[in-house]
Amino acid sequence: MLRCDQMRDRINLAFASLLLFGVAVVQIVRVHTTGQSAWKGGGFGMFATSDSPDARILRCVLIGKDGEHRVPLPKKFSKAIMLTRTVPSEHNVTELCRAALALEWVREDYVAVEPLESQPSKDDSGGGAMPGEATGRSSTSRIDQANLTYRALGGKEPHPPAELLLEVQKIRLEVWRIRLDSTGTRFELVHLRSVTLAP
Amino acid sequence: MTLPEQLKAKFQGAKALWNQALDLDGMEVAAVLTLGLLLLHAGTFWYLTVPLTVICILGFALRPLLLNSTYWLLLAAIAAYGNFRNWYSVDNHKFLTTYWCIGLHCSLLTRDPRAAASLQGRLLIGLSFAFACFWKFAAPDFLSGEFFKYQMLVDPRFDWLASVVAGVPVASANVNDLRILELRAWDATAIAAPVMGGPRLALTAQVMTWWTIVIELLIATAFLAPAKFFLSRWKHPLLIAFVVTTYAVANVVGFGWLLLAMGVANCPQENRRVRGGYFVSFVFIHAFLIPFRNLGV
Repeated sequence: MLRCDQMRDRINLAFASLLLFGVAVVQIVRVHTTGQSAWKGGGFGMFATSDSPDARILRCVLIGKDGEHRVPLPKKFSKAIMLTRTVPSEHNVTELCRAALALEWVREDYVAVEPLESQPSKDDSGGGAMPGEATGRSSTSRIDQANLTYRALGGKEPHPPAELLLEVQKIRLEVWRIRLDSTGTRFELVHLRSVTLAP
Repeated sequence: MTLPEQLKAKFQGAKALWNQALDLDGMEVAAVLTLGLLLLHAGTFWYLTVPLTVICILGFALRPLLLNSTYWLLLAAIAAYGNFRNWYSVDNHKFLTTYWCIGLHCSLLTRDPRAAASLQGRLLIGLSFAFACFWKFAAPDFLSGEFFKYQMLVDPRFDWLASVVAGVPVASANVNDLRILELRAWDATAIAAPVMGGPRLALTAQVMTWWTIVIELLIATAFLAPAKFFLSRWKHPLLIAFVVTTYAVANVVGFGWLLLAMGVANCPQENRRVRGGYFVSFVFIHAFLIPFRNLGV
């Protein structure tokens, strides 16, 4: 039979390794059940797949009376965006979609003139690139500068005239992943999950 | 004293210092390396950097703290808190750093802390490489070489390898960047874009794939197998080879640093050549932080 101090030594020797093992097994299960990226969560799946959080993108589409509008998510959602890209579970995508639905969406050319101090801050303005979307080289906000769309109304912005606000009928949040196709000749997007909500 | 004599004296002084470094207690060296890692690479969150800076400096100043179990428990608790707060964004080596701090704490509670720390280092290295291997076999795009092809085309850390070894022209790389950016744009509707590759892209990706899988598998086996298993004798050279070849390309200094700290803890005191190898590798991975390309090299 093991003496007490021998037993204590064994527990002390095994504890850190058991912790590593336990967290890594949980991560494996989560990757297969929630779509979590293998790169994150303590499972040592980095540099094993191109399906990293950086390779995942979110697309937000507002559906109004006049059709669909692709919009940027506001920067204040950056943590939720990061989480949704890393773990695009039904729950996380729905939560982010619900948060976007709760916003007011204004025509992007709306500029509040008065009062100046209530202009949206850099952090809560609706325009600009989706936070965290940079690949590490540089980021871009949009392709088509001419196509007028909508942006989230900043918390401190004065309320715009009603005709500038979009009456959102539905909102769709899509999670995609960039990868090389099997021939290695083109980048392609693979659809991971979509959630559509109505007010 | 003539110049050659002065140089000879300086060389002998450096040699004496090197010998002293090789004779240092392995566990203390591992502890100092770990403190340096926590001080410089713990992350950017204030709740990590502020307490860790204070505690690490105390550890450097008060040597007995290096072998104090409560001290390592405190460091482990702070590191674990950082992991807990940022579970889905921190890199895997941040988790491993926490396990290693816990391992040092637990080792110092045993009757033979040095042997315990050596075993902890061995198990943590072995297990982390075993899980890394698992993912490389389980991922659908690793063994086919697609992963490294993709990384060379989109990851700036692989730019040099892509242009010099795989033959992807810089102009093509710029076009690829633009196409990725267009796919990522929030108003994009496209779901595909052509890639401009290079003549040796597939071959380079295959070599990297198989080198990675083979060396990781060997390291996992060498560190987890019983000491009498023949591969166990090669575990330290294998780990050093991995650190040097991997972090020259994907320069994750924190991970390399941690592996070296755990490797030193597991290295027998009398094995001076291997310990020297660890020290040289430590300098080597930092040398790759120098932006050679910006210097025109």
